[in-house]
Amino acid sequence: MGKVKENGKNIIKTRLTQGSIITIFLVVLTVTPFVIKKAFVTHVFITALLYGALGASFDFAAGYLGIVNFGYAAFMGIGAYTSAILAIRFGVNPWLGLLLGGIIAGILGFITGILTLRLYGLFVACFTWFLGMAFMFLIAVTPEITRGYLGLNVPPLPNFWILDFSDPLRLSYYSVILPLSLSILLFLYYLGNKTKIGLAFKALRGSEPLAMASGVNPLKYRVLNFTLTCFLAGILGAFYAHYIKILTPSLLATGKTIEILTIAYIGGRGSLWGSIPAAFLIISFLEFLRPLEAYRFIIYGIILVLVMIFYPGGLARLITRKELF
Amino acid sequence: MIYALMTVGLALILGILNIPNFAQGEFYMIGAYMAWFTIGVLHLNPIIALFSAALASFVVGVFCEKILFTPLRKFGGRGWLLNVFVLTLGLSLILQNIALVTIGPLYYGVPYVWSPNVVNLFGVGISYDRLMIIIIGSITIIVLWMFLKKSRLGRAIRAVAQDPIAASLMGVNLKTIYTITNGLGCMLSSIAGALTISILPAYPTMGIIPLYKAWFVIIMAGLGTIGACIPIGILLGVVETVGVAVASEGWQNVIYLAIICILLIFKPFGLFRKGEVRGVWEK
Repeated sequence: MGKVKENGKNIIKTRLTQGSIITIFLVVLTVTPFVIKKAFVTHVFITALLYGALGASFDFAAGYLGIVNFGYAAFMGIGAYTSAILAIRFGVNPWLGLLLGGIIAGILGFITGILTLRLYGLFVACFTWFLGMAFMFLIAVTPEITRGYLGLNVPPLPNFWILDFSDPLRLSYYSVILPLSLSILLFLYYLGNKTKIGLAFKALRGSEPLAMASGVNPLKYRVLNFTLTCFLAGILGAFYAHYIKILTPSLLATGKTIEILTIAYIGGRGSLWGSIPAAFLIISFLEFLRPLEAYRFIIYGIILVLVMIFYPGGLARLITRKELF
Repeated sequence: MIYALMTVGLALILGILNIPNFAQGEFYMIGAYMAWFTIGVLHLNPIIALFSAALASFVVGVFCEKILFTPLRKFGGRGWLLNVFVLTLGLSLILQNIALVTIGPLYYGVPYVWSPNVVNLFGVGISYDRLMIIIIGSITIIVLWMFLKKSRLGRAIRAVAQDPIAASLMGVNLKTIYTITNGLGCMLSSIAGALTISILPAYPTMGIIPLYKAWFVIIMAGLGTIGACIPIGILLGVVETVGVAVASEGWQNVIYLAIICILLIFKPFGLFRKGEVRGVWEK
């Protein structure tokens, strides 16, 4: 009896501390760039949030459904190129472009999802990898539309209400990406943990035949997951295009997927929120140690190897000590 | 031929150790650098260059197995395949940047390895170097084949590939087998890198292209079929060359990536493999 009470107390206590930690984290996140007012700090924050959200939606495929989309950067790049080309050639408002980029990437994700239905495990990873490479080369060889390796100049987001996007501090970009990535995170967390859909994903990850026997349709859920994650990648990619203002096919290369994958894995597979602190750690590490040049990648590689050997659960596992799988 | 060599190495590591090795391209790089160093700087015999490249990456491969993969086997339980994959990503980053720091980003190559002459073979002119690549590549693969089929150690390696637990019950030392196989796999891609030094100069990130082509071949042949990698590897070379001839430069990549994607849709387990039997890597 006494033990139960104590447990109940502990749960409330941990809930309270968890809540306060999240609140403090959110406040720090919101206030810091506006207080410090340095372009460099804002840049680090924006990049970290962008990659955090990308990592989380990658994790939604890899950690929940157990499918590694190794061409993830390609879907991001497709969103980016769609929005950029629409804005340049047809004068479409980039705000609409964000959505359209997401939709095009989502449609391609839908088709990919259908095509990969017969494949398993490593084959899916390789299929999406080759597909991503094919998209990259396709963009590289059609310079009349995409300007290929010459690079495509992208206009910034147009001013909107009090947000002035020509500001060199780029605080307005920050005030777009902050709610965007946090709402993506919340949405995915809700979908993954509180709804039947999330339960179905977890069942499919555990064992596909068993899930099918319990009435879960793998076709529906796999396609849904692919569409959703690619849609989110497209939106974030379009934002990236208007933020960086220059696009080259190397955005679609394997290296970008690896960056996202690393963030998702160091954050902790299947945790979703782990990607945000992981992104902050990794991006600020790489940005602040820029003077070290190539040595920072050696350190980075060593850290990656050590994390994989000793903490395969990643950051989330380290903090919550909860079995994720 | 080069793709075949590289792929056999990758297939060996994947089939026996269950490691989807992303750092395989970096062993290709090590081989190329070793060949450049021995031939271009020290002016030694190409045979010595090949052996030194093979030895260097064998040592690095064994080292990696001992300090990286063995502890991961001990600590990591489930999700081994993805953990080890990310680990090899880290390894590839480390090796690439060590090369960048120590040797620098410049391209290093040699004008020729064996001789600058052109041989006339059945009315077709082919450079002596390229002929030697084909000959030495074939010899390496035949030697490997004999080793796997005939020798005691080769038999033990094949036994572990079939079932590690049963093999260890029969008295096979798993640790030794894992170490040697990893060394062998790395050695093969290193030989590939050393052979092509006169065609492709060495630079830190040279590994990525042969790496994904090797993956391409493995997927096309079907995972776990080491023998089938050789004809597919040669086929890839032909498709690529024809692709350049038919369409303009750059499109050949799009063409064969599209081919593999279509192929995967219709034959999800590769060309040379019957479905149904699933390895660890497909779960």
